[in-house]
This record gives sequence, C-alpha cells and structure tokens, in this order.
Amino acid sequence: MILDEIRLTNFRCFYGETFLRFSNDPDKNVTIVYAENGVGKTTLLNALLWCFYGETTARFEKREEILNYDAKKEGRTIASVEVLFEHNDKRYIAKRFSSISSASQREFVVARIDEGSHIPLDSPDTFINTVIPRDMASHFLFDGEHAEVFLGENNRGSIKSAVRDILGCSLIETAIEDLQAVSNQFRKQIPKTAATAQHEVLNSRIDTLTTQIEMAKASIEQLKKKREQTDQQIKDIDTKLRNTAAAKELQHSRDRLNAQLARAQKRQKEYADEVYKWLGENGRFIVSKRITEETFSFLDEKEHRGRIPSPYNEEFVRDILEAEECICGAKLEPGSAESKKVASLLEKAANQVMRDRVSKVRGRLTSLKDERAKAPGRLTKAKAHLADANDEFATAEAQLAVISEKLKGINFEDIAERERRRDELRAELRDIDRKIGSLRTNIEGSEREKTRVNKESIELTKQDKQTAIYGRRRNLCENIKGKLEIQLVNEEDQARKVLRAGIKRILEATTRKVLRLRMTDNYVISLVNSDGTALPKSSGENQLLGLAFTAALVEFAKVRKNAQDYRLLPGTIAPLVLDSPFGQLDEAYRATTAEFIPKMARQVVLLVSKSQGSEDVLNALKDHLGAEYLLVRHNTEPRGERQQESRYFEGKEFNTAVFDAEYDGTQIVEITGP
Amino acid sequence: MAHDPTTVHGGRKGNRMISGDEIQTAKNDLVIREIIELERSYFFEKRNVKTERQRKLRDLIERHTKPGDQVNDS
Repeated sequence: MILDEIRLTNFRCFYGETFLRFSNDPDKNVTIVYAENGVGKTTLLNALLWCFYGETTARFEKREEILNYDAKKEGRTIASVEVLFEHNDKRYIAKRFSSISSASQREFVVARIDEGSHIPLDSPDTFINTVIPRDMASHFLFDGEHAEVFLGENNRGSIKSAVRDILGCSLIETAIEDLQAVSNQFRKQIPKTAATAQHEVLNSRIDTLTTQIEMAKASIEQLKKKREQTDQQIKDIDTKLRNTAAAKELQHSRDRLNAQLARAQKRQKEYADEVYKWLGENGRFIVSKRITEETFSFLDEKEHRGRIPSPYNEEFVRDILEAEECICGAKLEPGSAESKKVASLLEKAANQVMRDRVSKVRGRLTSLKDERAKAPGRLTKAKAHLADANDEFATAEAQLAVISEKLKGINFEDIAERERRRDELRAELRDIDRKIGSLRTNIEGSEREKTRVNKESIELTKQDKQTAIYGRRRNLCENIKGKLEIQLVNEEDQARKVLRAGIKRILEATTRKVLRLRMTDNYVISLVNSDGTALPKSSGENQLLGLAFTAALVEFAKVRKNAQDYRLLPGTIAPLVLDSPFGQLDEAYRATTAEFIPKMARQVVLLVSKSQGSEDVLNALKDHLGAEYLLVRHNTEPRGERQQESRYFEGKEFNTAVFDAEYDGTQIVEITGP
Repeated sequence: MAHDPTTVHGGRKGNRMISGDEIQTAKNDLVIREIIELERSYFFEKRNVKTERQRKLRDLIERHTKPGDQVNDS
C-alpha cells in the first residue's frame, strides 16, 4: 500500500473539510507533519487506523467521540475519513463514516478508482485486511510509545505476538484454539455406560485440571496487571525522585556547607582566642614600648651622668657620719660644715635595695624589649588564621543562603516517604514474581498430568465400541493440534532468526557504541555492552532498539509479501506512520535515527513536535523529504496575554496558533506539497 | 508449499511400499489444509462467528472419522 491522500471531515479536532497529500516519491519518501503537543498528531495517526479498521489506538482518549465538537454544535451529524491509496498498481479510496443520527448508513466503503469512476468492492473489510492485515497494522501505524513496548522485561508477550502478527500466524492460532474446543466437545459427548465408568473418572480429572490451569492462568493475568501497575507506580516515584535528585544534590551540598561552616566557626573561635591569649600574655610588651623606651633613656642618661649606678653608698656615708670621722682621719663634728657636707652626699647615695631595683628594672626592660621584638610575627600569624576562618565562614554562609533559596518549598520528608514507598513496591513486585513463578510451575505440572490423563482417556474410549468413534475424533483433533503447534514453533524459530539478523544490522548502522543484541528464544530482548553487561532500559540505545525492532518487523513483512505457505497470511508492504518516534533519544541519536528512518519503509510519515523535529533531524532527513505540513491550532478565544507562537520554514513565518478564530480546532497547512 | 496429499499414492513413488505412517501424514495434511481454509474463510469476518466456525470444524473432523472407517488415525 502506498498512501496518496487523507481527507478529514469533522473528524475530532479537524473541523470542516481538510486534507493532506502524502509524498509517494520512492526517493523522497518522507512526509513530515509538524505539530505541538495536543494539536492533532495522534489524531491524524488514528484517522488512518479508524478509516481502515474502525479502531483507534488504546491511548486515544474518548475514542467513541468521533464528530468534531463545533460541527456537532452547528447541527452536523456526520464525521468521515477518506484515504486514497495505491495497492498492486491500482488506486483505491477507502471511506469510513460516523453518524450520530442514523445507524443504518453503511459505515465503510472501499472503491477501486478506474478512469475516474469509483467501483465499490463487495467486502471492504476483507480487502483492507488483505492489503494490511489488522494484526500487522499496529506495527506500521504506531505512536512513539509503541517502540518502548518492546523494551520492558515483561513485554516478551508483546514481542512474541508482534512476531506472530507479522508472520501471519493468526489462522494457525485460531485453528489450534478451535481444535481444542472441538476435542473437548467430543470428550463431553461420550455416552455414559457401565463400561465407561473409568472414563468418567478420567473425564472428571481432566475437567478439574482444566479448571485449575484456567484459574492459574487467570491469576497470572491478574498478577501481571498488578505487576504492571506496581511497576508503573515505581516508575512514577522514580520520575519524581529524579526530579528531586537535584534537590537532593543541593541538600547534600547544604549538609557539606553546614559542616564546613561549623569547622570555620570553631577555627574562628580558636584563632580569636589565640589573639586574646597572646594579647593577655604579651600585650604589656606592646603597650610598654614607650615607657620602656623612656625608662631606658632615663637610666642611660642617669648612667651617662654618673648617677646610676650611684657614686655613694648610703650605708657607707651613714657609717662615717655616725663615727664622726672621715676615712682621711679628719673629725666630722655633728652640725659642723664638714659634717653637713658629708650628710648632703646622702641625697645622691643609693642603698642596696635601690641598686637591686635598678638592676631588676633594667633586666625587665630588656625582656620587654626582646618580647616586643617577637610579638608582631606571632600576632600577625594568628590574625591571618583568624581572617582565613572568617573568610571561609562568610563564603559558606553565602553559599548556604543561595542553596536555602533554591530549596524553599521542597519537602524532604516527602522524598524520604517516596523512597520508603518505592522499597515497599519493589518488595511487592518480588512477591508478585514469586507467585507468578509458583503458578507457572503448577500450570506446567497440571498440563503434564492433563496430557497423560487425556491420552489414557482417548485410549480407553477407543477400546470401547460405543465410545470408539469419539476417541478417534479426539485423537484426530489432538494430532492435528500438535502438528500445528510444532509448525508454529518452527515458523517462529525461523522468524526470530530473520528478525535477530535484521535488528543487528540496523543497530550496527545507527548506534555509537559496540552493542550486542540479546534475544532469547523466550523473546527476552535486550542490549549488552561488549563486556556482556546489559544496558539500562531507559537508555537511548534501548529506545533505538525499539525502533530497530519495528524496522526489522516492517522489513520482515516486506520479505514475506509473496510467501506461499497456505497456513500463513502473506506479509505486506505498507507505509510506516511514526508518531513522535524519538522518545527520549538525545540529539545525536535523533539525528542518526533520522538518517535511518527513510530506509525503514517504502513510504514514511513522520509526526513530530518542534523539539523532535530539530534542525539536526531535518538536516538528516532533507534529501528524503517529499512533503511538509504544519498543524495549526485555531482558538475562538482572544490571544490575551499569550505570546505569538510561530515557526520558520525556509525563511517564511508560520503561526502555530491562531486566536479570535472562527472555530476551535486544527488546520492542516501545507509547507511543501508532494 | 505443502504437497498435495492426494498424490501420495501416485506412480512417482515408484515401487516403494507406502507405509501406514505416510498415509496417515498425507491424510492429516489434507485435514490441516481444509481446517486452514475454513479458518481463512472466517478470518476477515468482524461478526461473532466462533460458534459457527467451531461447528463447521466439528463437522469436518466427523467427516474425516466416519464410524466403521478402519483407517488408523491414532
């Protein structure tokens, strides 16, 4: 199938009649549709699905409301989607209607366009399913999350059914299911006779085992749903915690800075104490500088004048006066002029105490002088340490203020609570896995026993004339069912090999690292580094793996187009419609993937937002771009305070949102037509 | 493509004796082909056809296992 055009009439957000022509040029095989979130990308994808199959993707909200809201208000009752396409060199038009007034109108028609006239086909549903079987369609028309479906540890079921869908196993699968049902009918139909009492026992055992198996399978399904919910809850918490990871980082910084602040404060006190201590011990050396100098000067002067040390000994003068005789023998009569002259010497005389004092003063002054000489070094050092501590304290305090501002409004108890809840959920998950494992073991045991009892029952039935025919019929059902099951396994085995090789080749062409694909026979699919360690599921490489898997499926469907096996549905060549395919890919991977996208299918329709359709992506696609469109949102409301939103394509400005418009809805604007 | 089981008894097999297993395989292949055709005829039907389809399958199995038929289908 090659898409030519889609025409929408009052379909969901597309008010009135609008259309989009796809590029069908094999070289310029990419049609790109730009639209911001909520404007209509997914609606466009679903318009195709709805037109062909009357269905929409599971994530499409309010799926039953097809008619545009404004059109409905105006009294219109019909919404429709028409798709013009080519298939096997013939042109067709498929049209589906949704009417709220009449259910009698035919909902879906497909007509072959032959020289301008439309020749309706008798079985449009059958025809479309021959062009692209419904089971395969979701692999061609998918939203971005489709690729991620293949990444989860527990999505091996999705991978298995995707492989089977493309392999066209539906006929075999339904046949197996029907054969089982018919075999059970034959078993229950066996007439009750005295001779079949034993058979009754076996029959009852088979029923019991069947019930047990069904109940266990139902429990597994319930547990799987619970597992998905729990897993989703964990992912939600992880997202919230990731968002608060920055806050946690800030909190770590705050703790570190608080510790630094405390240390700086301690040092501040130590060095301040050191300064005070020094001042207490040595301050007198500083303050005594002047008096010391003056005293030294005084002593020096007195010494210089011969007064210090004193020329007369007080005790000696007093001894002469008391003896009333000089050491020269002359008499010193008390009151005489000679005696008075000697007595006057006492004014300059110094006794021993005075001399000692002068000596001590000199010694002390010398010490003061020496200590003062040492003082500046010690004090300067202490003061420098104190200044450093002050600086560190001030810096930490300023940084803390900034962090504190950033952390305002974040509840750390809430984060702790989330982490606690996350641990609880992970424990629940482990418990669920244990239960599922145990149920699977039970199922395996019951199935083994059922097979054995079944065989016994068939043999027993065949031995009795009255029941033999039922035994033979059951035997035929079981034999053929077994054969088909073996065929299915063999076909799947071949398909797995083809897909594995396809994915490997695609990954080699797109990934930066040397990666190895791991796809077990049980469909556990993962990427491992060259050293064998598995990459985290959220990584860009794994996002790419999802796309590579889809590309390999598309390729496989193409290879199988002319498959001749009557038991399998043939493959198909179909357009690949990718809604937001880049997911969480980083810019570099987006560009690499964009280079690869034109090679994914004969025709590709890419639905992207502004961020996904970045310059690098467009550059990588430019040689393959056949048509470009922009989805513009129309609003009846006035612009108000809103900013003008526009995008530029080849220098021309395009508004992405229009206000004061005539309707609320989406307009398709052609940038470059095919 | 699976071979047509009706030709198994043809001369191409030469003088070799055809074993019971081979006959049975050919017979089963024929049944499988009929079953797949039945499934295919209902495959694109959107209406609920499970009961009808399984009734036809049952008829098909009964047709291939008529009472008194001595073919070993064990």
